Amino acid sequence: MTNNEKDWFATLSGEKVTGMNPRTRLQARLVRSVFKKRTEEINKNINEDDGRLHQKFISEVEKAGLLKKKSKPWLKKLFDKNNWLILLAIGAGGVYATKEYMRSDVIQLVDQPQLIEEPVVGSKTGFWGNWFDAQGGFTGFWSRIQLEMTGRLEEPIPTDSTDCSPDYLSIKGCLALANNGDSAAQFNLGLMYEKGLKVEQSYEKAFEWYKKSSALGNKPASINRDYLIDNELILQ
Amino acid sequence: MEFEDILKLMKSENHVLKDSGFNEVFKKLEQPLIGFYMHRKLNKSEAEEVVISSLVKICAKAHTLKDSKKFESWCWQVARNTLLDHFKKYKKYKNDVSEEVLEKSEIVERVSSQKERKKEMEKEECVTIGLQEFGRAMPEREFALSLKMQNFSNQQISLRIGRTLAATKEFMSQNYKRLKPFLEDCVGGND
Repeated sequence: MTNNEKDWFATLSGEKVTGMNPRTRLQARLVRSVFKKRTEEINKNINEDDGRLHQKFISEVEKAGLLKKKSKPWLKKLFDKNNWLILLAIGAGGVYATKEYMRSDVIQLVDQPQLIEEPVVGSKTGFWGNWFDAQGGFTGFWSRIQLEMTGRLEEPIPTDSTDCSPDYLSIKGCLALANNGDSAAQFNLGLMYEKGLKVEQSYEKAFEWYKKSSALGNKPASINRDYLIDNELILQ
Repeated sequence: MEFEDILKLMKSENHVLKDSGFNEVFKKLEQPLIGFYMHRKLNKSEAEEVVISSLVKICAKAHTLKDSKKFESWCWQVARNTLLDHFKKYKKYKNDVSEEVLEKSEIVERVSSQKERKKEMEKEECVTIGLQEFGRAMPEREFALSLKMQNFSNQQISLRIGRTLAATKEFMSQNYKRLKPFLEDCVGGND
């Protein structure tokens, strides 16, 4: 290698060389400048990598069977550090939301129709009972004769309404059924007390009826009972 | 981490160690390989594709290597072969590797065709075009020169171009002569 060539390479490498041919120096500097630009451009491209290539590499290595497959990075990230707290919160939120969703505020249909005796005439015996009803109204002679002829005077009259149904809800009707062990009626009572439907609102009484109903296997009742507890509407 | 240590990890039967060996070899070679391929005229996405392909080959075959001291040069050998495969696959850069067969007259002809244009250009633009031509005709030499510019030692250059140290020295010393015709008229002639 001649001295001129050595100087050229030295200048290309960025060294300061004294006493060399000015044209050779200029040429070497220009070459260095062009290479530098290109290298900087390439390095900029290289440094832009954000781990994507590494992920691709790992997946290719796994695909080739050289490494055992790992859990997905996002899954790993999710379980990293304190993220389990977030997961727990999400889970609890889910359970809470589910409970909210399942909470029942619908009046249930009772299992057995309630037979209500509806005497046309007064229930009292004696002269007054025979001729006047409970409100003191005159029942009349002929209407009594007609009922006796049809044999329905002494029968209880079944009605469509149970007095504890979605169509007609009464505390009396529901109590009658609830005391006979009807879980739907017990639930309805719980709901009436919880919401204050036709009764004075009372979470305590609602809780008691829900508890009785859930003891008989009524699931909505147990959910509503838990709702009262979870929301601290009832003191345990 | 040194290449020899990385190879030990990669050869390990323990999955955790092997995994870390693969990650280390990736860390060590990712950027030099992308640079290598981009200097060899691949665009970034092509370079990344070839890098992945090279690294997977390295991981797959590393256990067959007996001499751990040769691991680094072996990696570069794999990288060069993968590049050749890529060129063959896409039928690119016919003159890329066998630059020596390029006739001098052909180079001169190519350069002189731009002689008139060069006179009108700024010096830097002229050198840029001259180097582009040089890169197209002799990409390996251009790459070696760019490494030299980045102060790589002859030893490091020899690993990347796959020649012995002595052959690399000779190769480098020839570079100036080879480049000279491409830069003629850029600075009004030299030496």
